[in-house]
Amino acid sequence: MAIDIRRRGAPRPRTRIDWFLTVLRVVALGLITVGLAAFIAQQVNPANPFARWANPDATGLTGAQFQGLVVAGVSQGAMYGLIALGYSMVYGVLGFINFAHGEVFMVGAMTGMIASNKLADAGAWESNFIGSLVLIVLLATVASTATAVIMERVAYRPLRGSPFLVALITSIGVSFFIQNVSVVLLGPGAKAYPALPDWLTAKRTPLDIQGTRILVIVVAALSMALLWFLVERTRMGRSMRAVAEDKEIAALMGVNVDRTIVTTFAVGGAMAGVAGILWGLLFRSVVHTTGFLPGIKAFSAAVVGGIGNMGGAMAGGVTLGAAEAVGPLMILEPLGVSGVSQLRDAVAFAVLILVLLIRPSGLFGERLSAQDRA
Amino acid sequence: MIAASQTAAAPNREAAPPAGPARPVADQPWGRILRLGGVGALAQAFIALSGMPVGLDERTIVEPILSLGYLALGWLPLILGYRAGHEPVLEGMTAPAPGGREVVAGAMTGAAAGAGISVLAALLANFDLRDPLVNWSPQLAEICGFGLGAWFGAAIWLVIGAGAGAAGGALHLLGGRVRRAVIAAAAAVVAAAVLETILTDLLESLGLEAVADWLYAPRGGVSWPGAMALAAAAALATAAGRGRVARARTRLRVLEGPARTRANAGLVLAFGLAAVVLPLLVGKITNELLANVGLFVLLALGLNIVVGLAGILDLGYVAFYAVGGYTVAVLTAAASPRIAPELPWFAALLAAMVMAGLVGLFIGAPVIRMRGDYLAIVTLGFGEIIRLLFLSDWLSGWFGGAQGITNIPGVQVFGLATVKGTDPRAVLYLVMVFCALAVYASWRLERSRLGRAWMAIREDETVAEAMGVNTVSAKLMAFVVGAVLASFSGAIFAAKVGSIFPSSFLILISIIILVIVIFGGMGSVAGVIAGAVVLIGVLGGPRQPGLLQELSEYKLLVYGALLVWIMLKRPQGLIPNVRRSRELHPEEVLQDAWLQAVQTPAGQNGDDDDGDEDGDDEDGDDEDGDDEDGDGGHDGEGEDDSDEDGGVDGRHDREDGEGNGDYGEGEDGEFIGGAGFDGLSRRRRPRRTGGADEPLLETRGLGVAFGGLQALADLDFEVAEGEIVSVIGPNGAGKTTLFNLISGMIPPSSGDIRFDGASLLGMDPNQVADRGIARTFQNVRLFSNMTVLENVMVAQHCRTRQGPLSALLRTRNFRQEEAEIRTYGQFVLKFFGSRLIGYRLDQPAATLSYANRRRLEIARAMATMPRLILLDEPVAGMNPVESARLTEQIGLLRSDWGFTVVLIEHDMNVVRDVSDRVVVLDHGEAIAQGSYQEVSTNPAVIEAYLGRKAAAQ
Repeated sequence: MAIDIRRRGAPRPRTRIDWFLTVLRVVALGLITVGLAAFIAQQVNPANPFARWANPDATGLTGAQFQGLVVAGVSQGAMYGLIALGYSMVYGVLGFINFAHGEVFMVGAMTGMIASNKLADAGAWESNFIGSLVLIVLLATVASTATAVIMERVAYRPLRGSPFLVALITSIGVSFFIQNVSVVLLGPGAKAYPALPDWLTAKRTPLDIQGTRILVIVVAALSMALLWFLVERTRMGRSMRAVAEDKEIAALMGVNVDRTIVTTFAVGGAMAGVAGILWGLLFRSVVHTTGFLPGIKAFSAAVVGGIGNMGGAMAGGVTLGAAEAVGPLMILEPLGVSGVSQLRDAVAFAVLILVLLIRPSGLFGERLSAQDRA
Repeated sequence: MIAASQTAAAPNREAAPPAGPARPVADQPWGRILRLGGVGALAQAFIALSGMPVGLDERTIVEPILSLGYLALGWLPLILGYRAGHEPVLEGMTAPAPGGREVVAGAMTGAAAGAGISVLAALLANFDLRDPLVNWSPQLAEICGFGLGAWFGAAIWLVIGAGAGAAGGALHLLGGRVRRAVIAAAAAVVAAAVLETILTDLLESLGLEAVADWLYAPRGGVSWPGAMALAAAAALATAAGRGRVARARTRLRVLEGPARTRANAGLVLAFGLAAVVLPLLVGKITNELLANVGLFVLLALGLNIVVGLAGILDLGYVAFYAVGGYTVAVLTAAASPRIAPELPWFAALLAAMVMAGLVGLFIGAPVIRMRGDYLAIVTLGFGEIIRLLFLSDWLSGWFGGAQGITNIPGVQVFGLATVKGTDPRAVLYLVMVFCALAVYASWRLERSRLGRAWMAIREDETVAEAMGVNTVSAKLMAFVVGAVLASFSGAIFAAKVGSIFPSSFLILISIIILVIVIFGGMGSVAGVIAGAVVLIGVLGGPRQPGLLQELSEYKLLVYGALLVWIMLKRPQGLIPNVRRSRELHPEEVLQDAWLQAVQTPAGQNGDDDDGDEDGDDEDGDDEDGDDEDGDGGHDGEGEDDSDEDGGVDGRHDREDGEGNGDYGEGEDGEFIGGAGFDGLSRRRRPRRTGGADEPLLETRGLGVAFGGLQALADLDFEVAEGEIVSVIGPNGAGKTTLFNLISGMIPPSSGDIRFDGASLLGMDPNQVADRGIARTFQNVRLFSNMTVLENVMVAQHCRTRQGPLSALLRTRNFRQEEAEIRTYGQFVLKFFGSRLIGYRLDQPAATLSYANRRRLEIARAMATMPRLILLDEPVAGMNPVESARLTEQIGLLRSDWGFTVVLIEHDMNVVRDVSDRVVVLDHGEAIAQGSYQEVSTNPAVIEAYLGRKAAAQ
């Protein structure tokens, strides 16, 4: 109901905090600009005095290195995007951050690990890789969906209508709990996926991209297309959109709100399950904390793309993945920061903070009902 | 209403209703048994596979019968058995007497839960799933089968489950008193086993070694004669002490004034004495454990201010702990990589406080205006960034990267002693000193101007802002206070451990501290302390072992489960803060929503609600942190950069009483007891600055559009000083929108609003309130969980200046200002006769009747000491007598109090009786202005209200 037009356009600074934030924005954008300029300078000529000014041992990146970074970033970003869909959809419908969604993703990755190892023991992984892959994707999707649905039923449904703080704190507890369930059942160590067939891991010409990365991007795109069809073209999707807009009115119009919310969790969970398998294929290693950082980053991706906006979540994921892949080398290193690869995660969070500082409704605009916006 | 629902939420088991005849045994709650049994079976299998039975088997509870491992498998059937027989009894209905049915239900549920292990035992014997499930081991099989094979195990667990479940069900058969005694006996035995280390230490240092030897078995665990004796003692004590504790608490609660203070002081003293003596009596290991507990108490008290009092979920709290620790490490350690000034610890502590405060400001400023849930994630991000920076190679020249900083010296206490990790008792004393400081700070702040502002923000941020609270700086202040308290812990941690690494500051720690605060009770100091003692003491911290060291592998699991459970079942925590517990119950929220729906007259237009929701966009001026100079307007205001209009507004002359002669002099004296109030009101009410011939309020071409809807278009509207103007119009005409625009809650799309000679454009609601405009809301929006008096006290926020430092130090100015706020608050409430004073002063606003809530809202607006007061449907929902009375009082607002009044009203009797002038809005445009007579006969007005046909007649 309430339309908050304050958010449109930045008002001129009035208070000390406004001034501080303005300075912060200017400094951040300035650093990014200078870093990028220095990067371009070093690409043109690594001996360029401007490039050397901050980073005396600038060498510049080769085209192949740069391309590798972008592809790695985009494929990882596609995964973030898949996870982000779950955050975004639940936020759209219930107006709260399901902090435990990263764990849903982890459950998918773990299920895939167990299933693929069993398949590898039985020899099916090598002999029929595609079939095995389909099977583990199915299993991971089922496990993740089940986790998300149970989570909703046990922890969140009783809290519907509570202050947001209550639901958010509960979801932190759920996240913590699931992580540790994995620790006590499966052990705390990192666990490996079986080796992938050579034809997949080989670099593909003409673009010289690893097949796994292509696979990740293709699967993510397919899942996204399927989701789009579900939400925009089916009866179920229509009720999801209606519930996101206004639960009470949707209920009055005959939509089963509870079932719709469960469906939302289930669909988000399924996407996270697929993302879990993709993670396994890309990094071939899972541990109980696998879901935590990707989860937070995926939420950041959802915010970056505009929360509640499905296309935005995917685009936000790709943006964030690319930013954290190239940001350290394109902005921080030219500024003379050493050991930048350690700061990848910091860069991802910095992107979130910057977007919220400069464009709080996300790059592609948020879609929220007015109640959730409160 | 509230009271009723609280009773419903927590049924009073003391006064069990009379019991009817028992139901037949065959009439079982099958659905519940199946559900609980199924969940129980899964949970039991999970507990077994988590490895708890094997891992915890080492720890004996009662020698030789019960180990912690078997306890882990046995408690669930017992509880489920109890739950299965538990029938909720609605108020006023007769509960059937418990009988065999409950026992059988319990037994069946317990057996089902036990079957989880039976099935598992069978599976363990026949399959090998050790590959993914690490605890699928022969040891587990042995424990499940008691070493006698899988089939024996499968059978015996059915029996054990049934037995435990039946015992649980049988608890229903016992009378309340016996049941309590049984539970107390069991709890005493378990507690004695858990507290073994501490109790042994205590008994030995008191010279009672023989008792310790008798109570505890040589290899750990309570000896079984000891257990019997303990159980008997606990049962007897419970039976004998029944009701005494409750009575003592009631006696304490009804104490008032100095007697209460004395009682409180006595309690604090006793507690303090125990805290001083305890470390002397226990050994090194126990002291180490208590020091860890103390460190977490300190951390949790800081987070409690942020989360519990101000309602900000700060997940990056650990960052300030890290900043405190690293600052002290860099400044004190000789081995610090870049600079090593080797300062004494106390000097470094000061630096750490300043650093943490600055980092708090730096992090807080960008996040404080975000939505609460975004804030949580972004602070978490900041927490990670800070840890990654400490870890990075980039800054390793300063902070040593992953190697951290080592050889940090201890704390030199006046050259007398060195406190460091090798002497845990000294560390414990140091921690306790800081805990005492933190307790004092929490307690003081909660009862200060700032604390009231925090409460108001938690209740309703938009309204707090409209009542003159600068929400941004109040929240930022909470953030910074929390940061400084966390830096204390960091500083002590650095000195205690002697080395510092980035891995000591994982996000995990933030979450554990959060669990402590939630478990103990948000906003409750006693609860937070109890929470830390129980959780860290028993389960252990992230790295530190607790009393149940064996549990350390599982403690994070327990933390997670506990957090979920407590949020679902008892969101107010172990020892709740009375106020917060009301806020956290969803039923209450629903009830409030329902009440609002009822109170808002049917058919209210939609856009009247506009602008309700801009809490996180507010900003404003500074808080004048420690300006203890209450009425020295100039130095306080000099730093104020918030006013663009050349600073000609009244605040600069606030101490100047001149020109306020019209205030509160009430010749009539009916409501203000014949005497004006000349305390703080006279000094601080904004003085008129505009020219005398200028209208007090005027809008020029004011318009606002929501999307395509032009809610208000090109409105020219003025109000002269001392006028009473009514704004009327059909639903959707834009009346409330006009109020929202004037009070700064939404910015106009076009036009200007001038008040007292200066434009209000671009001001935040709190600044508008500060300039002298107060408002009420159409759908009464009180701070419902604050008391009546607090509601009017918080409204004086913008007229008062005392900050957190003077509240902590209790300066003379602070006490004087508090007294004035209180007196003036009561003075304002007296305007409504005896309705809002007396015993009602200290009641939560939610308990007031509807009409009194409306009155309180007006009183709250009056308490902001405005020049102009905006009343949004003041008599809506009142009966004719009440509304006539209120109409008179609106007249008095002008004649006695000197307020100019603009009101929105649908009740034409009120409009006719009270207004000098009436403005009619329709579709966002003023269609008529003039006296009531003129307006009521205006054809355009009749058409707007009744339609064209009626107008033509």
